[in-house]
Amino acid sequence: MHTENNTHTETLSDIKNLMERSTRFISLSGISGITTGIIAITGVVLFCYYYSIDPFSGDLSILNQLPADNIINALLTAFAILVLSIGSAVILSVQKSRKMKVNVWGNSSKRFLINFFLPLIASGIFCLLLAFEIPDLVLPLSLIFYGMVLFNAGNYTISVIRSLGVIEMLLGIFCLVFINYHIVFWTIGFGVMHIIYGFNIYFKSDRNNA
Amino acid sequence: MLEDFDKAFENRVRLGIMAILMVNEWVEFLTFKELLDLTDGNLASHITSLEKSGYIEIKKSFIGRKTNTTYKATKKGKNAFDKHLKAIEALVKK
Repeated sequence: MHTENNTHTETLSDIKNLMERSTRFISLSGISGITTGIIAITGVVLFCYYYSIDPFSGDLSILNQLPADNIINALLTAFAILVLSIGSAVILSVQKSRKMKVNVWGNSSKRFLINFFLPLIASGIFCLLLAFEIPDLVLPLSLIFYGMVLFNAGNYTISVIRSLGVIEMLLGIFCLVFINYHIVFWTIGFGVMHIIYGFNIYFKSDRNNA
Repeated sequence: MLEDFDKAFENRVRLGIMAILMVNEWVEFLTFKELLDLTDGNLASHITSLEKSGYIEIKKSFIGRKTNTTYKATKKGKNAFDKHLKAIEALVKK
């Protein structure tokens, strides 16, 4: 009787596993999280170095003092970070899909992509326009938006992404409360957290499927 | 409780096909093949048997010149699966 019970438990976990694998995009690459984090930190460091900005100075007016042209440079830096991050995520996830022998362009990946990119693009455009009006709000808001995007997209991919979403939202709120250090919080959110979660996914998922 | 066990789901492959169809609307043949890791013939025979039970419906369409067959769980099939799953869960809880 005991072994029969085990078979049933196994059947239930098989069913759950199949349901997950058929609906979630599970080949999201952990390494791409790490590269995204490194790209974000590098971008911030280069930008601060170029404009001699000290993110720890607690001086809020640093972004406001930049002449209008430089807002565009800040946006270009952010855009470059975004393109490089997404590019690396796509390439590495396609590679992981191949290793795991799952369809890269299946229902689950389409569902994940639309749920990730649609809100991301909308919030991106919002932040872009806001940058010319109230530049200081862009960093906390982009963290909160990104957190909400991940919280939603986490339903369609590896589930830990949802908890990353919660952390990004919290960091966004902290970033607004301690707005004098907004660059620091932004770097923790987009840099450090990506690297931590990247390692987490790498050790839990990438390595088992290599 | 045992009378709720559905003969159609005694086989793991058929149970797997239904599990996938419970959480997806229309699913392609190839998707089943990948997820369940089966040969064409093996998969086709289980699909036919589920269709005969009235648990799934089949839609054939064309993508260019290739036929594209997709499958969907019927209401009857979903109810049967739910009942079967509850029966297993009840057994495990004992």
